[in-house]
Amino acid sequence: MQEMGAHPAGDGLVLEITGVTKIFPGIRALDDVRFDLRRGEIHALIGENGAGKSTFIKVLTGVHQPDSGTILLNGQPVRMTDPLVARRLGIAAIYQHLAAYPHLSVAENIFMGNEQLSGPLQFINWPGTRRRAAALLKSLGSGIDPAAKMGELSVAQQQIVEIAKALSQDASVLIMDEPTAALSQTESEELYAIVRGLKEKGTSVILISHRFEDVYSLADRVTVLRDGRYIGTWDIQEADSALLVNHMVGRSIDQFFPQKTAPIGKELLRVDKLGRTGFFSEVSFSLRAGEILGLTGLVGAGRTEVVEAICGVTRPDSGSITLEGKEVRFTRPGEALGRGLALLPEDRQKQGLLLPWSIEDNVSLPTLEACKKHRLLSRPLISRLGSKAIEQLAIKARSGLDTAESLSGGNQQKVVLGKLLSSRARVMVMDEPTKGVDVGSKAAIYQIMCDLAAQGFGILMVSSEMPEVMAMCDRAVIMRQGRVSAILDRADFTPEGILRASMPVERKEAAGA
Amino acid sequence: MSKPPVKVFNPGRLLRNRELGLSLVLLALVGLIGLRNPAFASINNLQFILGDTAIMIVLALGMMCVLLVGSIDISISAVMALSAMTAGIVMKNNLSQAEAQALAEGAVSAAAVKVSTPLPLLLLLAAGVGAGCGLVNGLLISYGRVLPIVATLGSQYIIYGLSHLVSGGQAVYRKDMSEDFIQFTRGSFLGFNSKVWIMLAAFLVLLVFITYTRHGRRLYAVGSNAEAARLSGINVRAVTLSAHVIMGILAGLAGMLYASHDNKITQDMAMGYEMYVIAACVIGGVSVTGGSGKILGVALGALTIGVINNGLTMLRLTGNSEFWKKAIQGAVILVAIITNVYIQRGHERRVLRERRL
Amino acid sequence: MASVTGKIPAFLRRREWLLAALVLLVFFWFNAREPDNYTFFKLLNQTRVYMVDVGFMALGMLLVLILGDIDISVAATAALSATVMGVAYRGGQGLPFWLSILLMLLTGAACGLANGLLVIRFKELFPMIITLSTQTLYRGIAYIILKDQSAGGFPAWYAKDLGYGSLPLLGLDVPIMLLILLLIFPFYYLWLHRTAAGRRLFAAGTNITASRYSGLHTDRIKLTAFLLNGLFAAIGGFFLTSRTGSVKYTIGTGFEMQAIAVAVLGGASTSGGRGSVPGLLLALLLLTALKNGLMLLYNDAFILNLSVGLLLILVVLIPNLFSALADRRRVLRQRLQLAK
Repeated sequence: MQEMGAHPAGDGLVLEITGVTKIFPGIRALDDVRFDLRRGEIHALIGENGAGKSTFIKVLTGVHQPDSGTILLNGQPVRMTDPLVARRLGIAAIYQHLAAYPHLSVAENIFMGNEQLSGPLQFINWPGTRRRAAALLKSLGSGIDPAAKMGELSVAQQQIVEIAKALSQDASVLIMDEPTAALSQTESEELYAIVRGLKEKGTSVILISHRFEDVYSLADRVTVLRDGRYIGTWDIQEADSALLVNHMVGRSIDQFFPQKTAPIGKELLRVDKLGRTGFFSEVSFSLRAGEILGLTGLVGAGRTEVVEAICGVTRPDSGSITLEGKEVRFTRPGEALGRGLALLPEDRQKQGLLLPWSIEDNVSLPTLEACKKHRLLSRPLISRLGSKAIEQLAIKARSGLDTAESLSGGNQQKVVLGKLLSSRARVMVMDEPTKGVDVGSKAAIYQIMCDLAAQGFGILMVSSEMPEVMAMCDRAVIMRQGRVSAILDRADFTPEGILRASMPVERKEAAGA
Repeated sequence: MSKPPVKVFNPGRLLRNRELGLSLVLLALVGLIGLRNPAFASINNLQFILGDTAIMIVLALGMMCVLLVGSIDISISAVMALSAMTAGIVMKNNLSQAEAQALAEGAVSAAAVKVSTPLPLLLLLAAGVGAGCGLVNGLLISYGRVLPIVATLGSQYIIYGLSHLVSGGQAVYRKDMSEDFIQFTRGSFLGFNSKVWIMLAAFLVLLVFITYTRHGRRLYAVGSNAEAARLSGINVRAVTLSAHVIMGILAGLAGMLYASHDNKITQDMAMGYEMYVIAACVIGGVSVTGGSGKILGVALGALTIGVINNGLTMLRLTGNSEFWKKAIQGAVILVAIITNVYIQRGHERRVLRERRL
Repeated sequence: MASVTGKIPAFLRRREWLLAALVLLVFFWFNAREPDNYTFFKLLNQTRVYMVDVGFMALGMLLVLILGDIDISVAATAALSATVMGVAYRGGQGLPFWLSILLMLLTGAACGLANGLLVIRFKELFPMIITLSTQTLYRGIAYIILKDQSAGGFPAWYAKDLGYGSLPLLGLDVPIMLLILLLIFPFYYLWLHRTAAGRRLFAAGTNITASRYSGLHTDRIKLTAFLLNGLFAAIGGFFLTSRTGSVKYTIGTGFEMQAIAVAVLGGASTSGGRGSVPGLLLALLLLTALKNGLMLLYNDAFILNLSVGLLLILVVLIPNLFSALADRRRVLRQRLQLAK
């Protein structure tokens, strides 16, 4: 663990941040955070969802103003009142959800806000803009046409354009938020090379990534944030992944996986060569009663798209789905739910809950017809559903009347589960059920999953967390770039094996393999 | 590192170029209608259409700015009325004062004194009123966070009400207008009506603004991705506000053109005109959700509407075709926005198909 | 904010008291200005003119607003439906009156259905632009059918008994059409706030994605709301025509604005998920009292529309300003806590 100030005083520190706090209505996004960045270093910033990383970037780039704390840039205190100030000071950020203008050209995206003007009237110099853009792209080894529309580029290409944009601003501090999230193996390697090249030129980089391979390939040091607080900073050699995960999560991770003892029964769900143009193709697997089947792979592999197609959120273009022996084709989630196929969506706030509504109103939503008395809704019946869910799932709330938005992430997830359970499902599809959930609730959710399996449910779990997959699943389907690359039995689970099956390959490799 | 250049140029794109397609459609329309009624395709009539459409183009230029930032303004006809009425009342009052004075001094007739309030001043006044209306709309929408349709629906009636109050229940007729004002839209230069030249001037100014100035490009940025614009340090609210102010100024100007052309200013003039303007923009390829639109397309769209309007009259399809214009207007907008959706979907499907899987 | 149905939460209860207070305020203000003409009895009679037609339209509009959508075409729908009725009946020479009324209702439903289909088929477009174009289309069709003429010559009872008839109740002469409107309210209230269907409507307006994932048939909910809106608009047009005795293609101009204003004033929000039937009734009373007073004082449609426009904007603007202030206050409070 590093002590602040244990380095040669004042020398080589581009950024020194202390005591930064940022409050939003109802939440403390950053709480007395500190951070320092040496000149020419690549410093990784990691933490779970909701740890405060994106707020941190926004404070550094002037989008938000900290409520307290100081930021020293090259030893001088700075106050970034808006993004333009940050940019002028040489701080640039590349965001996870690309901050790009899809309708505008590549060149314009690069120079928006930093337009190349000329002439007495200071008009935009388009030829000059295009030329400079082409030069910047070339320096990154890319031949993207500056006149192309941004929206027509692939994600990897857009990322390169974003880097070109940062270069055009002569950034001395470059912040990259999940840069490889949607890139293939090759594209990631190219990006690494670009970043190392920037480092050689003296740019300092703050790298935010969930992917440990990014962190270990590039970073010199790594800092962990948790719940908006600074946890610690380590040299990359001193920090192994177990240590980092420990600090990210706050506890050792092996403790809370329950024993799964459910017997495996007959096939409940079968998917044959399912495909959806542009998202996934030739996906086949089956799920049996009492089984927990993992669906894993990297972000962008197409897992959520597959489960959405199975559960009726979207429509597949090819292949078939067989539920309990009968072939089905759902046009909306309600049909799937009616047949006993329930989906716990990835984004519980946007897709799973009606936040302003109470727990009992949320839980009773799919089964309102059963809560009627004399044709009108009966409050007692609804309350009963709510209490049942609270009891069964140990939801921490004062009563069923508490609103969903007042609950913690874990309890919110339980409410969504309660809602699905009230509708007599037999197959439960869960998309990242423990994402952003606190440790205690995670354990509870795992226990619930085991109980459900014991009752004969079939569970399909999409997950990006290796430990979770390995501990909970009987089998795992690994997806890669829209296809199934492997289906492994529990006995064959190894972290390396799963990782290798997840990592994207070059086109020609796949063809030959 | 060497990598084959990623050229995203597509020869098929030229064919799908909207402006080209629109021009062809226009030519086809003129040709078809001209076949049935040769008088339609005469130079005289075409020039007339151009002059008539000039006002619509001026308004459409402003509407484009508003649509670009993802907003809308249905109060423009009210703004036209208020600006014209304000200028008209001023003109009328000054004129009668000047007349009274001249007659007192022994002038022969009123006609000799028909020049009083200088035209530029009146235009400035109208533009000012328009700008004020645009400012209020913009403030409600960008700072008050009122839905644009609701804000401009309400302001439409408020502004018409103000026009009514300013007018004092009266209209401004030809006799109340200064000679300058009457001749304003009657003059010709190089064979084209002065309206056309004014429209051209506005067109060029907006063209330069939207293509070559930073602020102009920001209209696109805000409409394309407001969040990204905010992160870049662009003041999204100010940009939206400015779009509405531009619309207001142009509406004020258009109101004057309209009034001069009509030789009449009434408290409820130009009612319903906003739908023509929106139709022109939508046909011209401006996205109703913001972020894209070409100024040439807008002009072509307005011309198309002008041709259809004029053509309907010339064709005398079912008795007096005046009655069909409204329904056709609505249908045209619907068809245009739906077509845009299908084009967009086809495009997206193509992109999905090209993904490596 | 707690759930909308069942227990009406404190917040909404406050609004309804505020509305009731405003109604009284407006009444006494105008009554002071025109003590002879602005009395309770006269107002009651004038509800024919100022309350019933807008009331029906507002009831329909509430459904759409709860969804978080908007429908600008209601006035045009009313005009088209009434036009169809008038032209079908043709002063007694055409179809029987009951059939003409049926056609009118079908037209209204068809207009609403068309809107709904467009909204669910083209989710990329906003209902705003869709209904803006259908508004022009529907009025345009009415214009084609009726041109600049008016269709009238309806059966005597229509104008006399329905349009101007009253029932003596509790010593008052209550207009029949007002009774019909008021009779709808309790059923409408029950349907919206106490049935599963109404609850699903609120759900779709609160979070349409989550509702869909929860099994709700969100497309059908939208379609139904727009269809009913069209139907209510047609009914509004029906009552409007009963008191004027004839229909022109221009009838109802400005009513869409009034319908939105009433619904929003009553508790709906343009962002969806909220709405209150009791609130709507009070808001309707408020608007009626206001319109009545303004017409008495100024007798000017322009001023009336100006005032309603102003009302609409204020009704939407003020809650926005309040919530922006509340947010700022919350952050300040937290910052103060931090400083301690």
